Amino acid sequence: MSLYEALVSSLKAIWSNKMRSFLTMLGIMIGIFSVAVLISVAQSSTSSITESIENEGTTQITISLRGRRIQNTFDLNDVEDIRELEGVKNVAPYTSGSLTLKNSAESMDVQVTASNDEYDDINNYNLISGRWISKNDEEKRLRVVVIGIDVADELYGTRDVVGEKISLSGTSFTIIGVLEEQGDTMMGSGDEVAFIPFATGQRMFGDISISSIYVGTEDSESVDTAMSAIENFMLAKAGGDDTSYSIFSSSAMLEMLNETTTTMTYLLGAIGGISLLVGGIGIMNIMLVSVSERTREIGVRKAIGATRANIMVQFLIEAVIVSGLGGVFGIILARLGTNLAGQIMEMNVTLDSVIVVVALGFSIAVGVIFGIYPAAKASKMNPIEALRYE
Amino acid sequence: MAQGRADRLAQWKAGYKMSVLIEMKNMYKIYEMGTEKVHALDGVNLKINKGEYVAIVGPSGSGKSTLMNMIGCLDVPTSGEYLLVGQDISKMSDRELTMIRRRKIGFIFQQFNLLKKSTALENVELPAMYNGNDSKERKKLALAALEAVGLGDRTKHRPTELSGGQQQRVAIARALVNDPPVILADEPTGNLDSKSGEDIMEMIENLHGKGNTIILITHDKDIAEHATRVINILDGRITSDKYSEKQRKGVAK
Repeated sequence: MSLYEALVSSLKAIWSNKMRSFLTMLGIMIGIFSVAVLISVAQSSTSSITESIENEGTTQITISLRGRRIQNTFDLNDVEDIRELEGVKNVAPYTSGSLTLKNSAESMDVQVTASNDEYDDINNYNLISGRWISKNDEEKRLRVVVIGIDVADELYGTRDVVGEKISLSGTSFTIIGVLEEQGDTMMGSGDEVAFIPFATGQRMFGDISISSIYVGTEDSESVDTAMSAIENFMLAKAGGDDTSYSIFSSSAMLEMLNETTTTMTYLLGAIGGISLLVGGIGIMNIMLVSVSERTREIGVRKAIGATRANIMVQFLIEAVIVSGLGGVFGIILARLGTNLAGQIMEMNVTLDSVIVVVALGFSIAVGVIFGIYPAAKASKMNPIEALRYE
Repeated sequence: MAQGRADRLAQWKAGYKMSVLIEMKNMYKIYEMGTEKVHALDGVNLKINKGEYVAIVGPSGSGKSTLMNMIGCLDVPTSGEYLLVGQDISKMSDRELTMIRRRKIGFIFQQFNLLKKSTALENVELPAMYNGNDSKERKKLALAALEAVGLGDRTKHRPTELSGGQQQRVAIARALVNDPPVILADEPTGNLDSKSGEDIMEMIENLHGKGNTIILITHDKDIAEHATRVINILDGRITSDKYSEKQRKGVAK
């Protein structure tokens, strides 16, 4: 008996118990479907976050100051001290506040960032027109502003706005540049923004404190050196109170993110493993029922010349077809599921081909593992007793 | 197949000296039921020649089923020797027994034992499939066998669409398809009405007439009368072994 013949005979058996076979298949199908979709969504969302971090540059270090005490004692001299630390290339003080931006007709509330002439370098910003804040703007506390494209679109309906006047909560500013499209970032829209010189901002916000310092390093290799130098500097500055500030680098964050993704994938894989286990037990159960229902058939087959191997292969193939088809349908559903999830979450969710191959491999393996015992039971039947079975 | 049968028929007609097909020497089959030992076969000695039509008769519990299982190579004796076409079966492994059944034995059961989900043709093809014939070959063999039992027009029918007599004829075709030297029929008419039963017995007689060796297992003495040799078995022992009236008449002719 060839494999093809065993296949045909197994398909016939599966087809003659359509409902039962389908329900058994469903167990595997749901398992494969849910794991494939969950892993795809997890992987796609991390990769989109990773991409946005990488766009912002991996040479960036952010120092956040927590609490008024340190914010009040931290000034621009300290910022200059940080500039002297090993590995540090750029430093930008940062503070922000919500202001109402207005031209003659329209107005909108925007989170306005106040920083210096190096902030754009640190954040890898490019402008579509005009220029960034200069040292001169900073020193003379000029009322100049760089706006995001959403602000330009909304207030002016055009991006050609350099030189236009704009009112920031009642004070008139001149637009000197428009930032290119940033897309959504972790902090919200990257395009509904405005930037003003740091000193101007202190005056606008009525607050001279610095809430964060952005640091750019020479290159990604010097991030670690700079981190530890900054760590030491801040600890001394805070008088040993390391809860009053936090330092993080985007490369450290990427690393953390990758670890999280890996953990998440394993976790989802484990859940998938459990659901496949349950599906596999379903297959074993139904195969045992099938073997006992077909005892007489097995007896006849053995009497007229089927070897143990023939019987074994026949039932094993049956189990593998049920679980394998479950896997195939699960993947087809997962394909539709990832598309749907992508549309709902408004991002690109793809079903990785590795996931497809692994999932199909697992579903077939489940059929083999859980099909072996029933198949072996069938193959070991004594033909005399099997023929006598009612 | 047809060629082989024709040859054998020719040999038989020419008074070909019958050769020994089955030989059992001092065969025992002992089952242990707790502490008790049951002798299902209690020293059986038996020779059956090629081309014979033998009925093994006995009431239930006589050991005839055990003897049938031995002849059909479904089981091996506890002790003694069983030679089938010169091969010693008694020491064979499960796999070797399967191979012998495949090629040497054609089974006809009381319950027909056809696969319900398969057509007549597929049922008949089954032994040929296990025997390794490719699909074209075995289809040819199966069609010929169905033709021989008069069911050439019922090949696509499933067992449920056939009468009992027709089902048993499909089973006979299945027994014939590998052209085995021994055809073993276990109460072939047990599940049939008398008319279909007679038809089946006639068909079996025809097979014998064409040179096949038939071993018929039955509890019914009338059915056994169809055979040319009747062996009675009781308590695991052969109590009588006679050639029937018919055979003597045949010899007299």
